[in-house]
Amino acid sequence: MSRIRILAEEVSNRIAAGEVVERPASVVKELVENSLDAGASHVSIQIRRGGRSLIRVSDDGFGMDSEDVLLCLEAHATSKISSAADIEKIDSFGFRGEALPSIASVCHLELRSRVAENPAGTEVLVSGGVIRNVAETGCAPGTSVTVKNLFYNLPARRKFLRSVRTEEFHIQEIVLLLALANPRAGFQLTFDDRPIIAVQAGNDLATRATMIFGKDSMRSMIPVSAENDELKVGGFVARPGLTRTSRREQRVFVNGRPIDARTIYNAVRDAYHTMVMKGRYPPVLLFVDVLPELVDVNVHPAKREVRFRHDRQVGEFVGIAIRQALRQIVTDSPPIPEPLRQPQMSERETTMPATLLNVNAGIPGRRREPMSFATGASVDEPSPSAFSATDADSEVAPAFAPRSPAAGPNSDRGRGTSISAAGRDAIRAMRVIGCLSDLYLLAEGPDGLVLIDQHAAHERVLFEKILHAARSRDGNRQGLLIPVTMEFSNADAAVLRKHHDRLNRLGFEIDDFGGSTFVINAVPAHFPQTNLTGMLHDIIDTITDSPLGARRVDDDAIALAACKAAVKAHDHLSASEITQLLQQLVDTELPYTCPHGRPTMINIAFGELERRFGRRA
Amino acid sequence: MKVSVSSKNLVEGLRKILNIVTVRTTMPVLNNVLLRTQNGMLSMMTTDTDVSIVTNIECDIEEEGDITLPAKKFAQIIGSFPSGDVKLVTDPTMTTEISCGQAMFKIMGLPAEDFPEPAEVQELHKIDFNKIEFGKTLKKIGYSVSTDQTRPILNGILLSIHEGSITAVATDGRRLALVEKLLDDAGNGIDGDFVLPTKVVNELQKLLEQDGDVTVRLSESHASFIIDNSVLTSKLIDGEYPNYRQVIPGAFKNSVTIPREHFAEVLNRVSMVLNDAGASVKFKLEPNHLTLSASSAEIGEAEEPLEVSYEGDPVTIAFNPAYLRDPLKNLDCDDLTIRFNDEFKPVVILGDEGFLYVIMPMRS
Repeated sequence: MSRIRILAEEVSNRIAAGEVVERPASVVKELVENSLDAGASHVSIQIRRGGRSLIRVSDDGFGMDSEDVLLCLEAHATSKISSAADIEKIDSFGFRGEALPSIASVCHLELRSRVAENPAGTEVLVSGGVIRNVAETGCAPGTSVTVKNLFYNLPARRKFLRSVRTEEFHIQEIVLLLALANPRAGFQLTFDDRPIIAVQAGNDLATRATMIFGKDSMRSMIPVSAENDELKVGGFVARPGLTRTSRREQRVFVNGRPIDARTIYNAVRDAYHTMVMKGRYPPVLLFVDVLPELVDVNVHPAKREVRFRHDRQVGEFVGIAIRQALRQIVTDSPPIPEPLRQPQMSERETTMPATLLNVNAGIPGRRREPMSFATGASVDEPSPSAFSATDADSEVAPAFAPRSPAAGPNSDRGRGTSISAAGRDAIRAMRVIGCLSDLYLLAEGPDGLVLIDQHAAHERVLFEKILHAARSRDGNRQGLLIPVTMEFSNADAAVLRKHHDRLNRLGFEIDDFGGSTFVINAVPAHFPQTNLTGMLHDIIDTITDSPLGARRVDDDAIALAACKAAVKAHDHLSASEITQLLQQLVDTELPYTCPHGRPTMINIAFGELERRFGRRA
Repeated sequence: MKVSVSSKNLVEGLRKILNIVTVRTTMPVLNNVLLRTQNGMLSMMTTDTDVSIVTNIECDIEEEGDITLPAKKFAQIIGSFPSGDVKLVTDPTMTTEISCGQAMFKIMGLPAEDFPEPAEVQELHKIDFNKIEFGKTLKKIGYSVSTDQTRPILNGILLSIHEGSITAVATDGRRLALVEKLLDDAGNGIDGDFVLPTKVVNELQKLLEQDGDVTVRLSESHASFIIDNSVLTSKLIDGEYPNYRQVIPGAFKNSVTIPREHFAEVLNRVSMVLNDAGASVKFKLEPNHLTLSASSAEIGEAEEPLEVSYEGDPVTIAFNPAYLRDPLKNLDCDDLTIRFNDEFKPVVILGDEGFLYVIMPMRS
């Protein structure tokens, strides 16, 4: 008997479902896209228990007659393309004709549809991909698809569904993206009958964008717009100064479809060249329209990626559009921090507008050539190996530290290496001889040249303080005479609410005003005094992007997020702070590493220097 | 342009206007000082487009004209001359001959037409202040101005003129300083709020050192200050200043009076054990006694009592010492009065006439 056989359609559909239907949010996405392809001007999405028990998407689109209703449940049945040639210029959302059958194969599905000309509509009940009943029914023109008991026949996948809140978060994200991309349609989203999103057809982009970025951030966004024969780009980008720790708020749409487009991300990064620090991402909302034949959307089953035929040109075009928008604000009106030009401002910020104008002139930015004694490794992100091609560990590890991290189980202090009394004395004895490009302190150690990463050191100092304060509950908090009112996006507000108590333990006093409005009444006293708004956004971003998953975030993780944000907010250290820094570092428990485990200081031994200068073989 | 002017007057004039010059490369002409003959005087002006300052000095004019010269270099050259007359002669190629005694420089300039004219102040109000008094007012509150670039409205001093009195306010959201004064002639019916950027406040203070009057002209968007031969013009900070009256408590349960200088000494002494900007000094109040104490894990502890007049219940309040030091340093009075309700609510410090300082205590 032959071992290989063609799978029954039911089985193959279920396998396809694995690709298309990852979680309730993907069902919502497929159904809403169908609605939009059907010319809907209003789509209403009703969710219960995060989509586990019910997802209902109803639209007022063309609808289907009884024949189409049945056909649409067949695999690779689609009204959207008919020949191979059509694949070359796809301008609808769906086209593979596998979404609905896939969804139908993993749930109890009810489909009701009516074309306006017919007096009655059709109702189909499907469970597990098998059609149970077809009947005539009365309904409004348009289509309504109800998905119940998602994954009831895929226990493994059902088990992997996250909490209701997490699934709701993903659904909300998807609907937001779709609402942004389709200004002509109105959207209504409810979770267990609570209204979450409601936009009218025709609400402009700025109104819709506010849903994502929140009112505060939206004020710091500037419009982008450019067009040529083949390409069109529009949307909003952040003024220099407004950045996030992740790409979460960089939203890109290609021909109305939310896309992870490396080409565009790179273009954004390059356009902000020197205005954004490494590891920071300016929020953007970009709509790129390309002639359908110049883009391949059939790359990824969930259509999260596209391929541009002229990749480089698209990147350049978007980059130039952003630079133009940014240049406008430099010449028209100053960016946020401009009006006063405080001397306290960091050099990087003050020089921003100037360097911006030089982007095209090819004037070198801050990126430096590898140092002479580096063996070719880039020094952009200094790594121990840049200093020594030989035994990196012995040359580069803190010379006076025990070799093995003695802090193994001591994870609550962040990763790090503890220190002996002799080690502390050695740090105390160091003589600071200079400062390298505002980033590294150079010091003369007992054994050679010591380079200290100011930021890492500062982070370590702050981290232990914040953690100590949170643990001992005796952290000072400074009350605010004039409380700061903040607007968050819905998603961020949810994160903030969830970790409210933890932030309070750290020394924040944040009042929830309902909706997405919060009022900050007090802040931890040892926190920097400026840019509270930015700092809280950073904390939320760090929590959201935590590799542990937001669910397992504990007090320490919050402390870590807070101190990362605090250090960012306090980017520029004054001379007196630098001198204090070493003293404070000595007093920490684990002075050799920052809370993330990166070294705070590295040592280049005299022996190494002698070898490099050829004084010793 | 062909003029002759005393080097002393030039140096003095340049000193007043040089700080406005910013080192920016976007508009090279902003690095320059504009020189032009006007009404028989040599008028010198610098600007960063938001703030501009003009000062007029006496000179002998042989030929009218104008030019802009690199400000810092020009000041450096003039400053190096012995006292005597300086001759400035500009030729059509934008080169200016600067000579004094035997020394002769030829300096390249940029055309005066490129220099941005200062904003015309559409005068709504005009008011005169005594220079020294106005300068002191700014000094008594200036340290409270916020440097947080994300709240631009707090990056300046509010001048609020209502019902015949003027209130100057500065706050960084944690503490607030204000000085309130009655105006002569009931302020001529002026009514409005004007927020002066820090940069202007700093420049003003330098110009207000001598006795005499300063004339302030105010419009919706600009303020200009006429001080002797100089005019300082600035954009106002746009936006609505927070309602500062709301943060000043209306009534107090307790009050302590302390000699200012002694208090400042004790505070400085006690805070020596602190090594952290976020640390606090504790004020323990008992009838007729105030004990200041501070401690840090790394350094140690300090404590010092003071005799004060206090009759309320025992209470301990914590403050950020830096926030207390500022007003102590900038006031003139002999005694301070601290008023408060409890260890959580805003605390008020009174001293010089019309001065009021509000500070939030620290909590743990």
